[in-house]
Amino acid sequence: MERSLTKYFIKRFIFALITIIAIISLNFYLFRIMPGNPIILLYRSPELSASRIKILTEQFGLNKPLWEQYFIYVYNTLTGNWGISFYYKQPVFNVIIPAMINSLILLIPATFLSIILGIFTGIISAWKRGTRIDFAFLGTALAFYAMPTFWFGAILILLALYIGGIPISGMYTIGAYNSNPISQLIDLLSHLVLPLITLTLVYYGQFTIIMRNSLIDVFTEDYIVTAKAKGADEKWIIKKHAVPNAMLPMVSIIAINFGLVVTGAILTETIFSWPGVGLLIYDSIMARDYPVLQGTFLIVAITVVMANFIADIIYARLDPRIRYQ
Amino acid sequence: MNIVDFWRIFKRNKFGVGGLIIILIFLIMAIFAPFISPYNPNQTNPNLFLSKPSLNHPFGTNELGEDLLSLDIYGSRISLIVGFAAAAVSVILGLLIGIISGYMGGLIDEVLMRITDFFLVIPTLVLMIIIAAIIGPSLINVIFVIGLLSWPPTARMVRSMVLSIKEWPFIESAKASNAGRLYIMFVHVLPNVIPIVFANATLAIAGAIFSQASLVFLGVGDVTDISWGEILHYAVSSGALSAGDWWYVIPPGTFIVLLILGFVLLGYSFEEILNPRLRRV
Amino acid sequence: MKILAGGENMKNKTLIILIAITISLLMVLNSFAISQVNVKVFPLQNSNNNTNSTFIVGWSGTSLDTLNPYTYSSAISGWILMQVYPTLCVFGPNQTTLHPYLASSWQIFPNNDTAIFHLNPNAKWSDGVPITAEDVNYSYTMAEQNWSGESSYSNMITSISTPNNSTVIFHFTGIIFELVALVNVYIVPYHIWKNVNASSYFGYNTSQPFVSGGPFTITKYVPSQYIELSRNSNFWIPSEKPHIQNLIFQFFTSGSSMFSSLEAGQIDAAAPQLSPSLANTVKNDSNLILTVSPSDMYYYVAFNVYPFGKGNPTLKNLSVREALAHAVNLTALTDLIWHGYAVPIASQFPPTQPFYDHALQPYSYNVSLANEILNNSGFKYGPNGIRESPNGTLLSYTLYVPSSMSTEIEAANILATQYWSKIGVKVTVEAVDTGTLDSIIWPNFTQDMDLWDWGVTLADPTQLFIFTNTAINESLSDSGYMNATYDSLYESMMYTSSIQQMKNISNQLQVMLYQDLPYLPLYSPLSLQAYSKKWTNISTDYPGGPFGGMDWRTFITVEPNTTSPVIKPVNNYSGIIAAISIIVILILVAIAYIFLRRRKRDGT
Repeated sequence: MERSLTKYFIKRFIFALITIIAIISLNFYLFRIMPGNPIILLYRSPELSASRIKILTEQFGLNKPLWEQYFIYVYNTLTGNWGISFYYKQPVFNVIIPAMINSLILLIPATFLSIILGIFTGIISAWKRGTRIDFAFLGTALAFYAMPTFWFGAILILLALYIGGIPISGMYTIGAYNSNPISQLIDLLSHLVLPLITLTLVYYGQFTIIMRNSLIDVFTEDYIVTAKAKGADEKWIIKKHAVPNAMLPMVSIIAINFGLVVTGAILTETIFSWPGVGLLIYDSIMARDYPVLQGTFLIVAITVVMANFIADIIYARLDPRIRYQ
Repeated sequence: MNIVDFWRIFKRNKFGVGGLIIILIFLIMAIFAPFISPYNPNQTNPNLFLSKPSLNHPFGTNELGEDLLSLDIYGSRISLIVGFAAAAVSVILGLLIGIISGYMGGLIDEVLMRITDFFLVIPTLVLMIIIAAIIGPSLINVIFVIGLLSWPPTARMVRSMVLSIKEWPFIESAKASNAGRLYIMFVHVLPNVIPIVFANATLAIAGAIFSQASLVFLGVGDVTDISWGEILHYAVSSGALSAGDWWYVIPPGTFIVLLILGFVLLGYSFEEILNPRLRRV
Repeated sequence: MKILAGGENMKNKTLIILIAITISLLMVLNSFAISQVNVKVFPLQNSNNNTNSTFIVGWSGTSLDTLNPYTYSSAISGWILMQVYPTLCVFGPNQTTLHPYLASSWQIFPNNDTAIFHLNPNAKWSDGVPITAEDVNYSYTMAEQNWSGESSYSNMITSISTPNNSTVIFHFTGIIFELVALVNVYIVPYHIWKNVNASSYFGYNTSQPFVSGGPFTITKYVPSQYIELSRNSNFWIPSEKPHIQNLIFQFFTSGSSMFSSLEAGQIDAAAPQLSPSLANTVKNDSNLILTVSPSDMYYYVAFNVYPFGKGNPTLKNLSVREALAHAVNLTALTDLIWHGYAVPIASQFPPTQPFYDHALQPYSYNVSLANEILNNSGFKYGPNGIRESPNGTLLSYTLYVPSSMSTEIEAANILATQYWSKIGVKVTVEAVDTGTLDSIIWPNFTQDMDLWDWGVTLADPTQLFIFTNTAINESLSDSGYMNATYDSLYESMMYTSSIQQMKNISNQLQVMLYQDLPYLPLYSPLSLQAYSKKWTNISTDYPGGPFGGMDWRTFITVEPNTTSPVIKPVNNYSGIIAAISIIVILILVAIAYIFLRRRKRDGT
């Protein structure tokens, strides 16, 4: 059994590697074929002279043949030189890392909370399946799932404007500031509230559904029916057998949805002006800031690939059937 | 199971019927929009911009003085069109790739599945934004882009179905009588897969509606046609949201939610019906 | 506590550990993010002590790219540079009177193409080094380099000489020198810049204190978040020392979130421009003041008249363009889109710009005249209701609009559906992002029409450059207008030695453009901004508004409003909110924990 796990592990690892290489290449070409010359974009003004365009083009290396640019790019990426942002004139890392951190501050609690909420409501729904409680929980979950992220955020903003006092944009207040880390934390948390609620509520629905369906699936397994016939308490069945089995599909869904979480982040970050990666991606697309785009895309894609890879391994470890495919 | 059986079970599924009713209401709204809208949605009125709801304008007016109720009614058209069209593209692609991959197996299967996994992994909204910037934001392009990036879930599901259908006896006998592979795939396998795809298709429609609204909201979709996402886009950019004009913001979003919910309920009910274990015990 | 089966116990411990890790990770990440910000004790802005107040400006335009005066492209960079580096002179609000700044007095000899400037003897950098003619010489030399964005402001200078530390003599080729060279070129400290590569220097080295020559100096910069300036206590014009201690520019990604921050009292002013629909909201807000100021930009529709262009050839026919102009009710359109906060225009500048030719009036709104022109030029109605040329080309065009300009997309739709469709012309509006639009127009001119804008610098007639032949190669001309007479006339304007003569020539140029219609000028929106009633002494007569990036007086004169009327307090519930959210999180975690715990109890 161990040998096939290792073989599976290697197979998935190689796939992850190939995907990353493909992403690096896709990265390069995808952004280059977007129409629009970044130099002209950046400097469109009556003061820009033809000679200046030429100098800038050389500075950014945009005049070399495409294949040469590609190899330079691959080499630089692998050696850690991710270039200078066209727009911010700073190393790409300096631009991306703070944005990533800001996104993570929002995304990690949001994912965590939505998973918990989803599991919780899914279990209750499955336990009371067929009853009004099931209907209510499931219906609410579906309703939130159907809600466009940006719209729900807008509603919360309207509410917050009405109530007053709750920050509706940005990550922290600037002027009212002191060196007390506790106050900083409270300030951050108060800015976190609305985006966090938005992301959590919009995402938990799919976990509810998966949890509920897996649980019900498990309930109808023969051995469960047998156990029930023998008089075992249903609560016990849920907790001992159903939930662990239901966690399996959850794991893979969480990993697959990493990409979705980044997407949700773009919409949420836009409406709340949260200075994270989603917003950075959007702004960089508009500015044709290739280095930043390549950098963020790469980081996001690698993270997602890694997440999927880890999920695959966990899944394989928990469910022996997978390895034999 | 045949249509009659299906309908009999479906009628009893509260979620499904509810979803269907919602969808029908919006279909009627879309088809009869010119008759039920109080105004021509493009009729501007410079004296009445951003006005609150009133008897004349139950949903108020936008920054050009256009009636928001009429705009919201007409908005149903694009959402439904994009929803159905993009989902059609994605389902057809998913079917094709799933069937070929599942039935052919081997290297073709490996390659196709790796490509599918790849698309599952990439954040699709980002790709959509980029591609829309490349090919332009017209309606056709938006349909194309959404459809092109949403087929993986369908493909995966179809493939697993095909993997088990492959072993069915009548397929074996078809192969034994020297039927060609294409023939078997599309005459025997395909009809058996289609019912399963229904649930996925309705969810695909829901997803397409959401994607279109998001793209337009961000300003990269087609902002010149009337759609709910476009109304929300202008709600933010005109400053109505900042001004607290809830009547501008709430209706279009509510309609989006209801329509998506309709398809989600419908899709969910299909899943319940077709997966016997899920049927209410 | 019961002895639990090993596996269950592990799972619970894992859960607890996970939660603990998450919370500590949160706190660590938080301090990472905020540790980039210099943890200073900022005095709160509502303290009444004049010398200790902080003014926060929200900026929703493109964010700061660089602080190098020769390579910057974003307007906010220019605005900040204005606070920290001097220019020789500055303009008053009428864009005509030159006021002394670094130069305390000067003589300009137009007929000799010479100018002599005497520098203020008190001028010094914030590190004590005097500002001398050497700094001026260096700065103008850098401005003229071919990699510099300021070269058009200094390329009329043929030589600079510095007979002594406080005198600079310029020789130039045209009196345009007086209009653009004195107020737009920032003087930088040579003793700092001689040690850097001027073309790639960011302009601010965070490891050393910033050396400033203006009323403020830079103290902290967090890219794409905010930049903090503080009063330069060594500023050498005592009467122009700012009344505020700190000035912060906070960058917002959307105008809507910036406005919400303004309403919530988190920032003091909103820049650079508010949408006209917000004007009423500001007026109704008792905490805010609306500023309406002369404009600094205009919108237009460009027709592709490039002789080698690939757009619809019928647009090259002047009658078509004239008909299109007459079919538009410009007054109604301006009112509809801008609700009274814009002015219809007929030429290539905002109307308050000194070079605007006021003799020109927008084409009269006359639909029957438009139809008549088209009929007489041989463009008859085709079978599908669209006019066509004698050889069958339809008068059907695509009008491109940058997708970021929401109001202009609406304007384009109105132009297409309410005006141009009435004369048998079909126009399809397409919103594209500016990068895509750039590639559509240059170098092959594949578009038919585009609706765009230009920001215009003060008192500067070189806006008219965009209609020259050279501008086509430099991706500045979106109309592709080619007129040799125009070009030579423009050249002569650049070499003339009298401002009145420049005005005459520029009027002639504007008349040519008016008649040839490569552009259909639309309107020039007034500058709309808002600021909090906590502040006072802000003037609104400068083009672009007090917060538009051109008024050098704003942050010098602004001071706290000590006679403040009752300002509705904005409750700060953030403490309560934070506490509630922490409690909610803990409750959820507790529920999950209890739920999973109970299961292991039943499990044995």
